[in-house]
Amino acid sequence: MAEPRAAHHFPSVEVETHAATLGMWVFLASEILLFAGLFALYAAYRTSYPEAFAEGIHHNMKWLGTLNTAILLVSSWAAARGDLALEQGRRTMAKNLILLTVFLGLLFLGFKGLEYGTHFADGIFPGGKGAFFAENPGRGISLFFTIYYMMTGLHAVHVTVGLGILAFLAWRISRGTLTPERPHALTLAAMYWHLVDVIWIFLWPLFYLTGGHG
Amino acid sequence: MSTPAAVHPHRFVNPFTFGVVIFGLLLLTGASYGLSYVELAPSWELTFSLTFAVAKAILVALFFMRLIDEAPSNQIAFITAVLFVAILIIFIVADVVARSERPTLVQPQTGALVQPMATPPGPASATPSP
Repeated sequence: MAEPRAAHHFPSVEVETHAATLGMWVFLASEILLFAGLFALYAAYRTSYPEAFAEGIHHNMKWLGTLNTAILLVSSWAAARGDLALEQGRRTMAKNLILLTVFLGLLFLGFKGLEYGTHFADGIFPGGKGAFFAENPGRGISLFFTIYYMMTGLHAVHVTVGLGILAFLAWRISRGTLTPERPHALTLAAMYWHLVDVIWIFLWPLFYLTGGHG
Repeated sequence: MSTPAAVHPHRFVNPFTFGVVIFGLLLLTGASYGLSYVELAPSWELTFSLTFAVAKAILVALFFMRLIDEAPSNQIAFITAVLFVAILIIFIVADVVARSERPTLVQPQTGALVQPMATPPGPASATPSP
């Protein structure tokens, strides 16, 4: 039975795992600060144009946003469960759960693309461009959709990156190069995926739910 | 044969806990969705929705991200970032609200700040006697 080997500059796998995990938490903290600027901008705009933001939220598809929230939450569960399965030495189960995560992530992106398509058909484009804004002039509604595209777009980029990494790691599990002896690459990727989920947890009420009754 | 990695023991990371957490997350999501159809004042609607969101984020961070089992150094790194975000947003909103309630005018010639007319001069603005 072979002992797991750490990279040459670490005395043990335990120390290597701790260093990698700390590095990931710091990276995730910097990601939070990246989104913080946009959340702060949203807060400032919404405080200045509450009615326009309520109108913009009513224009978004609440049921689709809710469905996407459930999809991302379940994908997060699958990633956490897959990571645990690999640690426990259940490689096939781990690979299948990570592939489920990837599938759910793709579904999320598909629904988000569908929603963007509906907006484009209604003449709603980033930067207040399009027929919708000619019919609905006003700075507030233009700012709402600009920050909407900015935040959900940046989030979709993160989803895409996460999907790529998880798909690569599923491939590595099936090839036998990501093993239960040193599983922390999957742990770190799953952490990234969970952060993407946490960001959506806040985007959902801000862009879909809190536009007044109905 | 595979040997599981020598990682620190997990007190809360197990399939059962993950099952309970995802159930709780979906329940909170349903509650948030249902609440969006209840007639509430906009400020309360936002407060309730964000409270549910914070609860969900805490569940994900603690259990799925395993923050509950992490070393204190890792917990501090993440919690500090969240705290900074909260401070940033609270002060920005406070600033925007304060400006909209009490607009400050700048005198074009001198660049000096002019108090709004609505603010009556109080005893503090009087010239102190020697």
